[in-house]
Amino acid sequence: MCNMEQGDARNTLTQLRRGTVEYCVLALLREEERYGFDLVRALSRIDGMVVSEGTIYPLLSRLRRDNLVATYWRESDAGPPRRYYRLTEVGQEALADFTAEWIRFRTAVDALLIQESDHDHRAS
Amino acid sequence: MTTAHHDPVVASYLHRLESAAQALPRERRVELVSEIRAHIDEALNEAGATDEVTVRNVLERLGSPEQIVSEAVGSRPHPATSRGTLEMAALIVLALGGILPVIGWSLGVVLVVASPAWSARDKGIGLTLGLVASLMVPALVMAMPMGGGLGPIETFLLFGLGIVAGPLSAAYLAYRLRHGRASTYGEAHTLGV
Repeated sequence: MCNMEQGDARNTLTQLRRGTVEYCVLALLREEERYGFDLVRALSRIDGMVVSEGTIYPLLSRLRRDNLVATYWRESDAGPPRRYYRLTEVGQEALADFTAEWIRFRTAVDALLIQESDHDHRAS
Repeated sequence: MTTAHHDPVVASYLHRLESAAQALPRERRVELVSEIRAHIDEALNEAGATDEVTVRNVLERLGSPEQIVSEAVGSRPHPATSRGTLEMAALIVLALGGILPVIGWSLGVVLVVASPAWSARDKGIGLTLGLVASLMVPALVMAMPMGGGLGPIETFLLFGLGIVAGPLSAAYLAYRLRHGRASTYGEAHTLGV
C-alpha cells in the first residue's frame, strides 16, 4: 500500500517534470544564449529535472520548430562550431505567461499542502 | 576532439540512434544525430579522457537511443487521438473513390497529402504506384473487342483512377501506416511519451 502511494507520487513528479522542463529550458536562455551541451548540463544540475540528457535535444528541436527559441552557429575555441540557442520574442512571452500561471498554481498547492502537514503534526 | 567518432562504443551508439531515428523526417534525424554526436564530443572533451568507462558513463547519462527517439516522435504537434480519423477517411475515399470518377480519386489524394502520418516519400511512392499501374488500363480496355466507344483518356479517367490507382495507392498507404512510421509513433504513445 505504502509502496504504491510512493509509486504514484513518483509518477506525478515525472509528469510534472515533463510539463515544466521546457519552461526551465526557456528560463535558462533568458539571461544568456547557450549551446546544447551547456544547456543540458545546466538543466542536469537541477535536482530530478533530467533523467536522460539525450531527451533534451528533441525538446530543443521542438521549441525551435514552435519558434520559441532560435539557433545559430558560433565559433568555439575548443573545437568545431557550436549550435547556440537563444530565446525569441514568442519564447519570452510564453515564459512570462507560464511563470505567472506557475506562481498562482504553486501558491495554491503550497497553501493546501503545508496547512495539511501542519495539521498532521499537531494530530500526532 | 574527433576521437569520439573512432571509438567503437560511440560508433555503435550513434548507429543505433540513426536506425531508431528512421521514424523521423530526414531533416530532424540529421539534426538529432549531429546534436547527440556534438554532445558526446563535448562531454568527453570536458572529462579529458576517452577510456571505455568514461565513454560508457557519458552514454549512460544520455539515455538509450530508443528513449531519445521516442521523445522526438512523441513531441509531434498532433496528438495520436486526433490522428487516425483523417488517415482512415483518406484510405476509404481513395479505395472507393471510383464511384465518383476523378472527383473521388482527387479528394483521396488531397486527404493523403494533408495527413502528417505518412512521410513525403510514402505519399510519393503510394500515389505514383497507383498512377503507373492505372496507365495500363486504357491499353487493356482497348485490346478487348467490346472496348470501343471510349478513347484512352476517358478510359483512364473513368476506370484507371478509380478502380486501379485509388485502391492500389490505398493498399500501399495502409500497409505503410501499419508498418512504417505510424507503428513507431503508436509505440511511443503507449509508453506515455
